Amino acid sequence: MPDNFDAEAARKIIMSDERINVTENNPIKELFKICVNLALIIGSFYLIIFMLSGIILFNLPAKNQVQLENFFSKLIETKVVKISDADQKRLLTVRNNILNADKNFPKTSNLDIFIMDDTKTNAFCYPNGNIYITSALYKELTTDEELTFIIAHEMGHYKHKDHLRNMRDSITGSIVLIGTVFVDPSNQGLTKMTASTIDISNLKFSRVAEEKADKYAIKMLNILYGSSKAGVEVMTKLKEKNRSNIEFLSTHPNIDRRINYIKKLSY
Amino acid sequence: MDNLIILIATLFICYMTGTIVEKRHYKKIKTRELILYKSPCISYGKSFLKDTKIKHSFLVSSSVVIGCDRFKSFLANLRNIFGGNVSSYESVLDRGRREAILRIREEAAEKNANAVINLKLETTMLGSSQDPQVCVTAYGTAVCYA
Amino acid sequence: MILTNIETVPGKKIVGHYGLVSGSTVRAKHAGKDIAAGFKNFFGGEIKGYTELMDESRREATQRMIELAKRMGANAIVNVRYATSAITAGAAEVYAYGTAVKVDSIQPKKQVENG
Repeated sequence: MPDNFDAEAARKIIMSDERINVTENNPIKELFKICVNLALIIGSFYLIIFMLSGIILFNLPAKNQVQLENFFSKLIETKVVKISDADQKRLLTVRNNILNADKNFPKTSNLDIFIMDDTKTNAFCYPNGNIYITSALYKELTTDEELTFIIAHEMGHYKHKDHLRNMRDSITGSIVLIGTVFVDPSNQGLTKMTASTIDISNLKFSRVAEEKADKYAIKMLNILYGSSKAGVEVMTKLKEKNRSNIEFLSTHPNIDRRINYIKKLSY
Repeated sequence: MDNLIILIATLFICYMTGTIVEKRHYKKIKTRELILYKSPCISYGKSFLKDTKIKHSFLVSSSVVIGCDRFKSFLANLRNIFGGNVSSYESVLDRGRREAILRIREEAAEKNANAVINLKLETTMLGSSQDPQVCVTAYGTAVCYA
Repeated sequence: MILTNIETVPGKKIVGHYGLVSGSTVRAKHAGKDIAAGFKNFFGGEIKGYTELMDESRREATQRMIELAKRMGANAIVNVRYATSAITAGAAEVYAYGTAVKVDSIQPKKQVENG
């Protein structure tokens, strides 16, 4: 063995930096390729479920739709504050004004309006069409025009079936995320990444829905009062009030952008 | 959104540092292999002993533990979904093996042995799936020719 | 005590054998090494803390095997093999085994003829 050992051959291989045991590839390119493939697969899965649930939800017969709406509204029902008769009359008058101005409003709900106790200024439209305004917000709405803007905005959400859109988004998101849990059960990295991406895309869609509701409210203001200055006023007032109110800013789109959008529509 | 940004930043940093460490390690391995290229390290023993007269022999062994950076394990997890060569880990095992074999050859050369015969290799995984660590043990008999 | 991982001791003759001897240790890392290893998550590269841990375990396992062989009266161990297995995420067992034998120097031919 000492005589026929060829050291030179071994030296040549070391000098040539040959690494047969490691596949030469660029890890960044590989990561990119895998991510693109994953995005395509998960994206198409999401699209299929999205369209299926959309078709089912938006084409429910009216009776089932009302049942679904009442069911979900029961889940998130909250305590309301007793208000004076004068306030009650004011709220109902504003609502009836809007219903008279818009003959095409879907008649599948009572459209009751309630005031709920909360220190944060906010307004919600429940799936069954009932509108809830927080006591903090109601205090700020001094004129009838400002109240009309808020109530018309929420009624716009109901008219555009935004509650159905939200349901479709949550169902699709949950199914896709559960799917990713099964694909990668040991290390939840894939699920976390998909969840972040779904969040980002949902934010964009909710912004579009908010702008449509604002547009509807401006239209109502123009029909009932001739001008929509109240819309800009109430948003500016809320912006000042909500310097520190993070929750309002997180569920509604960027308030400056909204003010600019409303200004563009009004003038 | 913040989660995504933190993830991408971590991965980028780990990739940069990991590649630098790996390149440096390979350079060191190359220089040490060049120093030792004259004394062989073979994996058989019996037929070697038939031809050569040995003065004395002793056991040499060493182990190395190599860890992976975050980028490597992230890439491997994604690769797990589709299957195929997990090339990010291949370099870890390659480095571990070459380092362990180098160490026993250096230990043998310290005591003036001429060759290492009957080389055996052992690989185990020490860390968890979150941060994988590979332990390579190499052992053999160092011999001095008569 | 001579140790080899081939089947004979080169230059000597096996005159008796005592069977399988083995030694093993299970070692776990301690929290300090864990934190240092956590940093290596960013850099990759060799984790010297664990390497020393595995080295010590191997040496201790070999030592235990040698102890056992000595008590049997052997003076060499041939065909030494190591096996490492991870018990949990933080502990590993090193198991060393071999055949304990008694070796004698090969008598030069002249002396054998005289005897």
